Amino acid sequence: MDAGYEPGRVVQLSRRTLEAIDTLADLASTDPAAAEAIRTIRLTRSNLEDHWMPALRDIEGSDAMMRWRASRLGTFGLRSLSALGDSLPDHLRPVGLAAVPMPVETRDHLLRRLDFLERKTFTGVADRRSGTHPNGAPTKREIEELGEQLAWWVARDREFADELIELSVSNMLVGRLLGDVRFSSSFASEVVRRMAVPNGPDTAVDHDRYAESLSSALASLTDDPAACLDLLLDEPTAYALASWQSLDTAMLADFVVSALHVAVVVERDRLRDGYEVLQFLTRAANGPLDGGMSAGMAAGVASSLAGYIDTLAPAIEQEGTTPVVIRAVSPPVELGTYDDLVDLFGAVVRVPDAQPALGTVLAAYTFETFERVGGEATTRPDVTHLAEFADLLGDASRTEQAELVMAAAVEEARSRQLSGLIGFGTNVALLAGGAGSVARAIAGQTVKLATNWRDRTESEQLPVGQIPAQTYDLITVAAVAVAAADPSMHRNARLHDVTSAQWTEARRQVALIARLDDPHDRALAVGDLDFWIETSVPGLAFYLLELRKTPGMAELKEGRNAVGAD
Amino acid sequence: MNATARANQLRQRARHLRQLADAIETLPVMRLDRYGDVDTWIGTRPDLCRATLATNQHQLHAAADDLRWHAYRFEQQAEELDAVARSQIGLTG
Repeated sequence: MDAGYEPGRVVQLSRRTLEAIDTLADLASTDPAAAEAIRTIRLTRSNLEDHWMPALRDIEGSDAMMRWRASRLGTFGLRSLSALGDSLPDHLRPVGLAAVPMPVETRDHLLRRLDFLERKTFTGVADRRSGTHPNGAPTKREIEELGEQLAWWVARDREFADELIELSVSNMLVGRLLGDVRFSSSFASEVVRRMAVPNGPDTAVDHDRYAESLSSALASLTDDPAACLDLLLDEPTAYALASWQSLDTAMLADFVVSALHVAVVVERDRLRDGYEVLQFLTRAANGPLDGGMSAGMAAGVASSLAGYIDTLAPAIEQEGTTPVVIRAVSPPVELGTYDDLVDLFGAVVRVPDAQPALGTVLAAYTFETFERVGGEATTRPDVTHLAEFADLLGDASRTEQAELVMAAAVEEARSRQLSGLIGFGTNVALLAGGAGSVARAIAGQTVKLATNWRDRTESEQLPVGQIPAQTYDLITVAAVAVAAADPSMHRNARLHDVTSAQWTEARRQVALIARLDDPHDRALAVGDLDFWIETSVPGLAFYLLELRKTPGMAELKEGRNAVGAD
Repeated sequence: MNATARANQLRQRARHLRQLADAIETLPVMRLDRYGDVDTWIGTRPDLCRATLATNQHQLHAAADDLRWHAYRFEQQAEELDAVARSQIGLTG
């Protein structure tokens, strides 16, 4: 019997199985009437632990899995393993489904049906646009029935699958069906690659429907992060998705977050692949995308930075034409020069949907940095890296003549479950639990956050302040908040002279800052905190003074002065 | 324990059993088959895993039904106890 598996899905299945085991373990009851149910729950859990997980671990630990992991998309995963020989260009495993020759009459019937429903859909859309009831539109059941049949044959007949891929650029129902019915990731990936045309299709098809169809195809892949990342590694596809403005912002952003963030969280080895995508986008931003990129791509990149900033920030050394080389991956990846990166982030910053995400990620990283370095903030290079990264974003926002609205992001985030962990929120109790995990969790939420923020914020209401200024204040607050929460760092940071009453007052002022809504008031309150420390808490003042001697901080302070003068 | 207190206790148990039944039917394991189908893995071992999972899911559904049946019985008993309590203080209906 044939055996095979698709690594991306196996990783996903493994995660789902562990989640299932955990939730089964959580279910309990002491009611005697529930005894039999509880026994069944235990039995199910044992089955997953004793059969499913060992089988999945065996697959994940196999050499073959390692070999497939870094390979590329390119073919279908439907042939028998023996037919493949040593050529495995596709990370999507051939699953070895037995090929079934498709009867000609079945093929003709399905293609006629596809054409018929497409025309009915088109009529329905035209009805809606003209304000009349869409009588002609096919029902959901009609579409699902067709989709189920197509999916069955796609999994078994390669030629038919190829035909559908080709049809996807003229029949918009193909992409839509991917969202309604489950096809294999390999098929969905091929459809996306076929449909991804820079700046949209140069044909007579309805561009809006084409964009909806491609967006549905992208959305259908988000549960398979490895496949998403493989698609972005395909430069023509990545370029098309970055250049075409009509794609659904949320769907594309989710797809990009799945590729650049989730795929790397699931498989850390793929960080290098993620950087290769960023390298390509950097090149594109300094070339054909100089005018800007699609909102979904920008929002996705900004949100995903949570997983890259800790390796990207240390790589920023000098401004200008100095290359930024990511040495945390092997072999190292040269993203481009500092100026190239300014252009990349400039293209990202220019998109309003991406701004809060970028600000949120930077704010979270600031707190994470202070939590990580503890009492060695003034002696380790981490704060310099943070300052230089913030300065780069500041340069990007200045280049674009746009102010990054980090404060807006912070305000929005504070009202959500990220409250207290990012921006000027300073829930140090939670921070002590590990800001790293918080930073990772942010990516999935910033897109939604950004969208909500955009929907209810007028541009003239945007608060003042640039990234360097905001970051300078953020560093002050983060340094004080983390020091106030962690007595174990006081000795190393030479803060042992600060009294408990002074720490209490510091915490009070930080909490006050966190509650302020107006960015200008907040900047003033940070000034008050600074003044109180300078005049009343010599130990803490010396600590902040040392911190501000960190290379990179001087540039940030220039921005701080600008805000103060406002 | 008087009849009213006993009825309340039975209703509380019924609520708990219904909640447990709902919790069972929304467990992630009930949707695990979607992620472990033939698009994900095939072979003898996956077939075995799928078969045992299908059996477990069936058993869990049956367990949830059973819990609801118990809950229904408890609620009926509670009604009867309430009727007893009412008759004890001279009320009818």
